[in-house]
Amino acid sequence: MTLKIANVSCQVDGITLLKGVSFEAAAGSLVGIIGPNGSGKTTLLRAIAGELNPVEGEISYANVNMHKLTLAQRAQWVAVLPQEANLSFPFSAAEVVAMGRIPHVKAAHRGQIVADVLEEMQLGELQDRVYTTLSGGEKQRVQIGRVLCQIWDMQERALLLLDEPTTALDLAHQLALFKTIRRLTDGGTSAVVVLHDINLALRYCDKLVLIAEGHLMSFGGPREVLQSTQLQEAFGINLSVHETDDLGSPFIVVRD
Amino acid sequence: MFNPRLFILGCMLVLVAVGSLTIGAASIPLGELMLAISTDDVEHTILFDIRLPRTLLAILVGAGVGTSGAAIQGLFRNPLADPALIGVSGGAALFAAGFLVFGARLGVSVTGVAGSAFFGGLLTTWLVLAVGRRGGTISSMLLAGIAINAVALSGVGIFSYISTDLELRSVAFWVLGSLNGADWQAVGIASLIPVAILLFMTRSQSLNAITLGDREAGHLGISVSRLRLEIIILTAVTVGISVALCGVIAFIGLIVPHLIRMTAGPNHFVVIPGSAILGGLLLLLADTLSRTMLSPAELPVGIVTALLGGPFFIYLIVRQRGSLGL
Repeated sequence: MTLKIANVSCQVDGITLLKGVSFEAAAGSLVGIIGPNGSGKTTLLRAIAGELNPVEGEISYANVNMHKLTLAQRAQWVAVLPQEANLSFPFSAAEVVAMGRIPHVKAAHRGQIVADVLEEMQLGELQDRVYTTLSGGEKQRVQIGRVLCQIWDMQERALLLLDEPTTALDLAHQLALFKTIRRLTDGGTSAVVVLHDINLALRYCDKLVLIAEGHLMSFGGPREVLQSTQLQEAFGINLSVHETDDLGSPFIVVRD
Repeated sequence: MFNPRLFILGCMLVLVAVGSLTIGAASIPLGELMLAISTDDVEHTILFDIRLPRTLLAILVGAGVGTSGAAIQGLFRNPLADPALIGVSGGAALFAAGFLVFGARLGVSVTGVAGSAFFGGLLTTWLVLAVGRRGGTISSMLLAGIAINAVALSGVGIFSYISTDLELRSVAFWVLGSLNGADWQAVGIASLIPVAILLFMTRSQSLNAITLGDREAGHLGISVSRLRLEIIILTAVTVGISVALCGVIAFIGLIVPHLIRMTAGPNHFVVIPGSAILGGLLLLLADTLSRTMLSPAELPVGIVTALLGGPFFIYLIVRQRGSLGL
């Protein structure tokens, strides 16, 4: 179930947003995509999701070319959380989460899966609330719940793609989300997450993809990417790296 | 999937339908209804040749317009959307008005009005689709619909301007909507509407998915471009048939899906059949009012639907502040 990105270039409206990006991630990996604004993180995620066709190169998961699958086939095991999600009608939180099961024709265990996801995302008390009346962070948790619901029972076949999932979440829910993702990846699900919080990326991701101006600057384990000079170059900032015994992973502090 | 609210609505529809058969210029009391079915007198003729086809046509057309409204609002993710937005009503009105003015002068039969209206409705819908596709977004299709509707209605204005007084009266009456021409042939044509409603119902899941957004629906395995085409074609055919048979029926397509969402939630598995039942019920009520209020004369039903629908809609907006999803 390896995710292979081979020399992928993407264009939107004739503008090249991604150029020759290549990396591989083994099954059950949690891959973080980091980089400055407009660097091509979302474009890369959209290409992996099969939403954008690369002008060159190939993206495959479990040796299947993502762009040769039909929408219905892809939706069986690839779940995508876009950066922004709106809802035009007053569905309840539980109904939105249950929409994640739309690709699965069989209704077996549907109720149980929805209940499990509501509990996992701590949405039990909010499940009957109308989505449009929820706060930004609560809406985000509902949308993440919907995405998790889509692949909850797929384990090692599943590919989870999340674009800035922590943006509206408070610290406790950020940590809870990453623990959930880690549990899924431990079960064989692969996950690719676009992140702005480099410390979260360092702490939870197995591999990091650093991109800037559409090019892959660095790919590897968190320590490898952190040690490269490209991180500072990509963001145009000074960083100092720290480590404590109890955390088990390095963290950065931004200097002036 | 049994829904008690829809069941109650269904019972109300049956009651109003029976009631509408008894009311009119010549009253047929409820107790004599069965007698009128079995005997062969004037009441039998009124019941079978006038009231029954009219009642059935009102239910079918109301159901079709209500369902189309629900599907179009879902597709455009906009609770203010109306089936007229895809140009079908404007186009049908333009071609019908053209036919009423020029067709009458050429001595062509009235069935040609329905045919022209249906053809006009489909043609303008195709235009809206084509322009919308060039624009690339769902908003460009909405804007194209508004612009093409405006052009079509100005065309109706031109035809009205050059028409004779008699022709003007037919154009005005047709544009305002009426079930006056209901007969068994019209019911036969309108019997295609339940087929369209069933097809709409099979798209409930996809319509639920698209409320999340086009991209999100795609990630849930829904082909948005295909769904859009299917819903627009189904709406064009359903509303096209309705407008061709009864003229433009205002407000049913807008207000009915709202009422269902407010009482039974936004799930399209409920909204689509609910809008069919409530659409039929409201148009039947409006038509019964339109033919009895000034009996033996009758008001165009579009006036009644707009007259009752408009203030009621305002009342709902004020009472339900914020919960309409606007």
